[in-house]
Amino acid sequence: MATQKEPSELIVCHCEELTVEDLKEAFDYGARSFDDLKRMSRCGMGHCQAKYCYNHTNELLAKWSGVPEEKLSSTNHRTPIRPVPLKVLMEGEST
Amino acid sequence: MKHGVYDAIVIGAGVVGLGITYELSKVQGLRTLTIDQAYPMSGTSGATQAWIWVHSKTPHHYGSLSKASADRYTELQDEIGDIEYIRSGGLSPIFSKDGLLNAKTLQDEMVKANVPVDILDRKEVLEMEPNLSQKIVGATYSAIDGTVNPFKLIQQYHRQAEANGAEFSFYNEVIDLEKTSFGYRVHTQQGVFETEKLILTAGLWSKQIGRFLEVDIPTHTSRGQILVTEPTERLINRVIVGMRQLQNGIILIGFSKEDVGYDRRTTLDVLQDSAKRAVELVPKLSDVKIVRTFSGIRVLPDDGIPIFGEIPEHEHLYVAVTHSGMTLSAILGKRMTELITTGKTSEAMDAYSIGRFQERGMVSG
Ligand SMILES: Cc1cc2nc3c(=O)[nH]c(=O)nc-3n(C[C@H](O)[C@H](O)[C@H](O)COP(=O)(O)OP(=O)(O)OC[C@H]3O[C@@H](n4cnc5c(N)ncnc54)[C@H](O)[C@@H]3O)c2cc1C
Repeated sequence: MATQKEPSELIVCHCEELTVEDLKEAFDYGARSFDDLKRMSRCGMGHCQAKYCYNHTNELLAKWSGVPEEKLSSTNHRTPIRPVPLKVLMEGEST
Repeated sequence: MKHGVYDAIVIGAGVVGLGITYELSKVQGLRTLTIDQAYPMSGTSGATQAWIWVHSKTPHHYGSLSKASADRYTELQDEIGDIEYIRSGGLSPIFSKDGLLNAKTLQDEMVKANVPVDILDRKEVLEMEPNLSQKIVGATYSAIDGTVNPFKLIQQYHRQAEANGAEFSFYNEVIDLEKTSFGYRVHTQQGVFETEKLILTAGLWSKQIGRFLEVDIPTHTSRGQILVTEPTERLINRVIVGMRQLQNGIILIGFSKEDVGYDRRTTLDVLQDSAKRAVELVPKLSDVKIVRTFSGIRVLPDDGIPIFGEIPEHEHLYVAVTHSGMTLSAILGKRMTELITTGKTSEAMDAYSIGRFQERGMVSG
């Protein structure tokens, strides 16, 4: 929960190995949304594509900024849902 | 509510606004404020391929400007910290005999800009890039082309400018502008600021912001959709028009240009078409996985070349709006700072004056 104290070296984004402290640094530079943090630190850009770190990162953002989580601007979830080879994407049915 | 009096206010903290802010921050005693409705990289500068691309920038004066910017990046790499500027060279593939003719015209034009362009035949291309398709006829090549890490570039501009004393206000939208006897009054969501000089660098939103002062900034938009692959073995070593491979093995692929206004969705038909073109170019890509897609909106001046300089009949109002802002931010930062501090630029920038549209009767109103 957002009320617990987070140890600064706790890893939030496992794919890119980013800690609470790394994200706090980006926050201190003015980042206020998941996408801001992502572009600053690569948080959520690794293999899992933000599936694991998204909620935790938003909890931290809410705690630091005082903005409730549901009011934070959300990220765009785009195609593909899971990694897909180009040859499969090419041949898939266009809708 | 915030307030304050500045020597210069910059509206828009994308790569163009930050490049200018950084250069201005090196001027002793100049108080500046850079305002953004969101955060750097939330606009086009956060959804880009970030090639530092010179060799097809015609006419020749635009080629020269792009080259000057590429050269400035080699200095910035030392000056502001690692921005991962890599001068890998760039290839623009040719698939038809007509393409070869156009290549010759391009080469002749770029000679005037002192930009070396080689015309390669199939064998030469495949020697350079063995994973390209055998169907290729040839390519134009220049050693001057390369890439930068856009996120690092923007963060380094921001950090260095802040360390030099530049002020910033993020998540603060400019909602109106007014001319005053002193300069300009900038109305924002968080307060009113006074400035002597005002610089518009709001990318595709500049058009709207110009209207606050009844200035027409003739631009249109073009969406680009990008496919991002998983990290993979090194398949290409240079920028190949449509794609680049990052140091970590990820390949960015994008060929699309769509006139859809401000709509940042990705669409399956375009992604499929881009995937096909990528595999045609580099057959081995067919087994590589796509992990993510994104889209960005380019802003294009109506005649394709940058809009830069003081706006005629609007003293102390400046604009820098362009496509290829990643390529150009370094030189536009320098030239704008010269203009702000001395009233002129070290190299002629007349070709980029917004006045050209008026002369040609291209103002859309
Ligand atoms: C898919 C794609 C690929 C590209 N590839 C390349 C490439 O390889 N090489 C290259 O050189 N270029 C490339 N470009 C173009 C390049 O990314 C852009 O030219 C560049 O990012 C534009 O930067 P900018 O600072 O002008 O605009 P932006 O980054 O859009 O910045 C404008 C800023 O203004 C702010 N703003 C807007 N309205 C207001 C307001 N009312 N108040 C306060 N702030 C406001 C916005 O929030 C935004 O941050 C590409 C573009 C796309 C879409």
